[in-house]
Amino acid sequence: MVIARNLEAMLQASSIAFLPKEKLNDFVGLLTEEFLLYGPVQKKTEFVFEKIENAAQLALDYHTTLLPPKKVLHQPFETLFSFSEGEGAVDDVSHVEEKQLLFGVHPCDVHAISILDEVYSHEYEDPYYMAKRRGTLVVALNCSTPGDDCFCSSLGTGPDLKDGYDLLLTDLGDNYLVETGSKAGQELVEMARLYSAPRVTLVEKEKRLSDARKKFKKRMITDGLHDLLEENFRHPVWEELMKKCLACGSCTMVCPTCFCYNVVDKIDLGLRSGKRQREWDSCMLLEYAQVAMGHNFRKDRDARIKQRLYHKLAYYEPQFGTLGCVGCGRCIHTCVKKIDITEIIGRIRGE
Amino acid sequence: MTAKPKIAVYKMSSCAGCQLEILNLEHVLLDVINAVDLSYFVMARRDSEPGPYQIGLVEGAVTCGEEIEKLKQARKECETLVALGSCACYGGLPSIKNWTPQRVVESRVYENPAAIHSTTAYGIDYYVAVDAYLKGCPINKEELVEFIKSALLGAKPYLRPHSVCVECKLYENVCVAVSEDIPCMGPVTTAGCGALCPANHKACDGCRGPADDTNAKSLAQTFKEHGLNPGDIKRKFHKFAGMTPEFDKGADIL
Amino acid sequence: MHNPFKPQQAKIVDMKRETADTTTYTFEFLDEEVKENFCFTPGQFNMLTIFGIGEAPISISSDPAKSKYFQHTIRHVGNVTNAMVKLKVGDKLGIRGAYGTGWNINLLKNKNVLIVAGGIGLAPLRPVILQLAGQRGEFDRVEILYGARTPGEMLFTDEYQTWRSKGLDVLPTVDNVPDTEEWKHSVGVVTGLFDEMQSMPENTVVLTCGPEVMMQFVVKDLLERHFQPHQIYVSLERRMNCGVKKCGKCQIGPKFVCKDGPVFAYAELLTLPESVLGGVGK
Repeated sequence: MVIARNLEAMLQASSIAFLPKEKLNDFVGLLTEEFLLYGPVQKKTEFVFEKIENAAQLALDYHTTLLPPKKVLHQPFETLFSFSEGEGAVDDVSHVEEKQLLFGVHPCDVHAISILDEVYSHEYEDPYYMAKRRGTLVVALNCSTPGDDCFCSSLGTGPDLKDGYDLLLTDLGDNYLVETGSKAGQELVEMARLYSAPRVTLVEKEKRLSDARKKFKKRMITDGLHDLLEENFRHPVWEELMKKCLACGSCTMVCPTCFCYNVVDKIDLGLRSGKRQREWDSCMLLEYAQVAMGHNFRKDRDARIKQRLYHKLAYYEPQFGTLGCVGCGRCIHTCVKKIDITEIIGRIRGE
Repeated sequence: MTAKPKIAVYKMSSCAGCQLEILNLEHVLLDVINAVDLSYFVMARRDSEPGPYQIGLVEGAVTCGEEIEKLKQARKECETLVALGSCACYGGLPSIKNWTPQRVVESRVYENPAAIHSTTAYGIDYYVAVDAYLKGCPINKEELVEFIKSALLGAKPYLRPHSVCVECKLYENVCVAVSEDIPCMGPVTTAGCGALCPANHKACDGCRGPADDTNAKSLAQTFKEHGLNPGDIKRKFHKFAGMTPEFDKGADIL
Repeated sequence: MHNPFKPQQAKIVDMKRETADTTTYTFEFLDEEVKENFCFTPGQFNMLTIFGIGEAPISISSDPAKSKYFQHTIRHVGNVTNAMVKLKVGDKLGIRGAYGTGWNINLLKNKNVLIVAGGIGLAPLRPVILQLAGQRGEFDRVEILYGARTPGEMLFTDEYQTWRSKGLDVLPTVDNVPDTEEWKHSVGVVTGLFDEMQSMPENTVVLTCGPEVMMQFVVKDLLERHFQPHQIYVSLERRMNCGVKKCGKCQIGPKFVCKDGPVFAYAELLTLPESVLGGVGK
């Protein structure tokens, strides 16, 4: 029933168009004239979002990229400002708004960007993130083949997408179906003079997504997750994980919704000027919760493991009104020990 | 401006690669010389200025009695004493001999072992108090500069305490362990090298020694599951920092 | 766009050495508009910058009524605070704030107030003490229990007489008395003063700040004396890099200590899964 209703809503949606695959190169070329374009490209056996100049560089049949497209908006390293002796903070390096476009972003990552939008605008605006975000369009790509570690279908964050995009592509074989999600997206369709597609194409799209839904190997039941976790803060699984986990921090570094950062001043050798930088940080690391006098509030590894899991699945909701996990599976893929968030929840549920 | 701090560079048992890195600073070397006085640095200058020095950089492991005396002298004449590189931090490569009987090792290398009086290879803090550790084989140049700046400022330097994995992720390297099934010491090794080896498609060798929350036992277990034999695992953990209790736990898988 | 991460330049207008390792600095912002608009409530903190070394969250220790010239009482133990030792009157540094949720003075009206402080923990409580002294008639009994390691490490000793003259009781104690120092008051940990104090659970609000271990014992002992978790307010210390809910460091459960705290009712902390101050957690 749910699917039927969604279909109906989709049929009433704004314009839909075709992007024939042979025209992809032209389309991308057009976009590069207007935008700094980031898309998925192959890197050895993996994929990464990179600046691209033409469609040939794109690997649109990618599974999941190593780092999420978050890295374009909340960069691994970012200069906050320069400073100099006598003058204090000089704001000359902050956030020039550049028109950029993220191309081929999967639904899970689009959801993650929406979550970060909330994090970075909540109460206080983060001027660095928001300036970049305001100048960024998102051309999303529905997933037709989920990866081995994906579980977005459990969280309602994929394999298809309802909002958060400017354009949404679905691979229909010879064509991409193009749906518009914003005025800016509509302008792109018009600029590229894409042909409108018949409404019935949405049925074909739904069929493909429905096939995709059947291919998920992992799942996480989210009903009552908050209470489940609160009741199981002392479950034996945490001690087992403490022995297993390498505390290397990889799971958090690749997470599309992790937002923590550390701040470091870089001063010139003359000690007269420098810059203040931020870089991604992780609650999995020992030094994360250590204060000046040396006291560490999460010295034990299991406390840090729980902080990661609980933040994603229990604390995010009261903070930002959403779960902090989008089911992209990166934390599972990247883990040398194959620690699996879906298995942990399954284990606590007694599955 | 106050007088430039005087720096002394000492060498124990080592390949001199770490002190060579000071000269390899090239693009900032003149700035460094403007900021500090390299007063005692045998590799770089013919004459030396006498101590005391503000900073002593000690390279190499301590492997004989003469070095112990030299080290104690260095401690006396330096306000701040720094272990420069993994040999000075942990014993480094020279410490691989520690797991073979002394006489066997000596006779394998020297024609006349009777003339050799070597001791167990230790990092310098086995004998004297050490104020800072610049890890790596060799050290990372940026960390050295960071350390010098902090010393000038009178502050604690920001040296990454966590695993190499963090830097691999920051630079989006393809993980050699996960994507290519190559046994990698990155998850238990201190970062600060810019994940140099994995970035060049080579597994981390663990040269920078244990990170701040090392779970060597669990990583050794994974190595074993991926087909490494106990001898190989032992060698991995013993190579640079086997004398640390953290890495010794990894070597102790059996 | 306003940049909350950019510190404003402030000047040291006065300095007072409190103890061997602690100094109280009086600051004013250089920019007239910033100086005019700056205000804070007791228990709030600022982010202090020494450019090139870094930034640290430090509680404001002065009277909120005089916000144009505000004070920080700083123990020189971290990178930033150590660097401050070298500063002189007239020197500049970066400050941004004020941040956080402090002590709620309205909750104290017509109540007895018990203040329990340890070491540098008296600094974040001084603004509220000065407010209580200034508006003395609005509160019932006010009792201040203060513990330091030695007599020489006690803060604000020249002010106790003024506080007492305004009708606040001050009970000091020290862990030990070195041979070189003189001491006529209690010796022992601050919780030892609970036997001497007048405060009873009825109609009383407790405010406490000090080292983590001290606060754990304060809370534990007060609960044993039938104080209720909702009567006890604690000021927490956590690592912070932003002060505005962005860097993530200070989170405990869904709380951001930088915004929802640093002051919390102990009862609120007991609702969190993670144990704070020895609470068993949920």
